[in-house]
Amino acid sequence: MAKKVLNVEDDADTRTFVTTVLEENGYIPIMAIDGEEGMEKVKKERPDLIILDILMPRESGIKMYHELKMDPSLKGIPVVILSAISKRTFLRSQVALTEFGDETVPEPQAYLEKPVEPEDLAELLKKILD
Amino acid sequence: MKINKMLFVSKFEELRLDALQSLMGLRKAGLSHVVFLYVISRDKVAMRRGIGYLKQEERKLREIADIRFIDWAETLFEEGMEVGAHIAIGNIVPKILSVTEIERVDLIVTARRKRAKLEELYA
Repeated sequence: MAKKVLNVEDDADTRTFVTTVLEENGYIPIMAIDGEEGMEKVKKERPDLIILDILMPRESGIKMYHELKMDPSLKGIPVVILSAISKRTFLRSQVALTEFGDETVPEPQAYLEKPVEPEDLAELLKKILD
Repeated sequence: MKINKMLFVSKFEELRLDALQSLMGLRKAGLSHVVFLYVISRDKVAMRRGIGYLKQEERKLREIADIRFIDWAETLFEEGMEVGAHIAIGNIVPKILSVTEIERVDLIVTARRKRAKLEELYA
């Protein structure tokens, strides 16, 4: 059965790019345009993997990632970050969020800085999902 | 009044990172989320006779705004703040109102429409 991949991304061009890569590689793409919608889709669709942008309206990928990893029923879903925000900033922000008593969150499965080549994304997905 | 979420409308010439950082004192009042908004004036990309809609110009302006917002967002994310960004085309006031509604902000920070005479003189 084809695996479901949720792409949380506010930029329409990147959404189209990721959808194309997913469809061409036999995955079922699910789209969300910000972290709030992303969390709703995660709970509803239970995707096999999440591709997550960081800087988005309403709720950022940083907050969504933190929520995912704090939820025992969702924290096992692999997350690939696809963003122009650096990995260093992402990791520091997670540390800053955990300063208030939460447990430390694990690093994402992979971190890709934009722009990414379609072959690289496809190869990474295959490596994680197959 | 608790100020949790702030909309920061920048034209880049007037409201920049230093202005934003001077507002970080509002964290004591509960500020934890900053939303950036940059509005591309319709005149800059509008249809021109013989050229059509300036799609390339729009893309260029969006990319410039995106790069700046990413830079600013990195600074705030590292401090544990939540950050969002909107880049829109149109008239600034209706866009501010629509983003205010979407994001449900508690405070709007925006530049003045015009500079005062002395500011123009010394600019």
